[in-house]
Amino acid sequence: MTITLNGSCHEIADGTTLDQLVVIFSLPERGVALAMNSEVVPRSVWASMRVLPDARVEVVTAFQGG
Amino acid sequence: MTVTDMSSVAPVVSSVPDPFVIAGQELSSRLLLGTGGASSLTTLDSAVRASGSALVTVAIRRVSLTAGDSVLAVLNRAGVRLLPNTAGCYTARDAVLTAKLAREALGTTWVKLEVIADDITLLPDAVELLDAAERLVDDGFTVLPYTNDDPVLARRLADLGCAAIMPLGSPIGSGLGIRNPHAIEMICDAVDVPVVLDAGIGTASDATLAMELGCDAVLIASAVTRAENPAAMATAMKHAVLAGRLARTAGRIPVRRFARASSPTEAVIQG
Repeated sequence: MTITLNGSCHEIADGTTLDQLVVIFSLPERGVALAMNSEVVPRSVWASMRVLPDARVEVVTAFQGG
Repeated sequence: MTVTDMSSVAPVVSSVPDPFVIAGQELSSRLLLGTGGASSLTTLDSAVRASGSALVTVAIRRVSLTAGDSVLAVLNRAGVRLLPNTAGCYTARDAVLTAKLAREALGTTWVKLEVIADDITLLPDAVELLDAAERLVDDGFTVLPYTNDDPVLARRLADLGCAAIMPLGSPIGSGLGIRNPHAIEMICDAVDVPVVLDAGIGTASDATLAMELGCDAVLIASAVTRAENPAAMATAMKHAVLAGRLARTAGRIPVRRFARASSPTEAVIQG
């Protein structure tokens, strides 16, 4: 299935969970947050929540700013 | 005779209790530092340490897959508290989502709320700002809104439950200083929460003026990070904020129309 991760389209296997997504794309483990379809998903449920087809996933962290 | 050097400034200040408190949290400095604009993390590190700031802003952006040492690592080593911002948001909806992501990523409920109207002026959009502030306060955030130099809007934000009010001196990154000092004074009178002058500071005298006008603190980013020598400017700003605060609380002389001699006017020789 196709998803959009941080603005780019990617093909991933059906049933992929959010914690698997983080590993597949080598995303940082700490200091990050994830939103799927504009809803923040707490880290505590990444392991049990599947990425939805056509989901828009955003993974963010702190940068210099302000 | 004892020679007084600059190192005596800090003890003199600390001997008089003058705590700076936001939302029940005492902060050890009235200078808040923004991290945007620093040319490198090494430069940022030296500026943060030189500033003495205890509260430092960061932006929230998409993870870069090629990131090296992160700003988080630098700031954690410096031991400062993080204040994530919602810079780049044009709507209340985006600002609220960004604040929630920041809370999840950084484990803090504090947020510098920015909702801007356009990328030319970077001025706050008052309507979206009020909407976002209300939603975030209701969700348990400690909200520090970047706002216009408008006393009425400041009062509305304070009434909503914002923990501090952060009016601009002039547009972000402009270095134009405080263009409407009277409005800043009125904001200080209008709200009971701390007022933090945010945006527009160009040099040390601007920061001092903010404190003399009655602001409780100053937030500075570009004036430090984009200075030729950021660490030196950070040091200057630290002293400028201390000077302004002391001057504000010391009780300045009234302004007079004509001179008032400071030497005795009697027993003057008759040549």
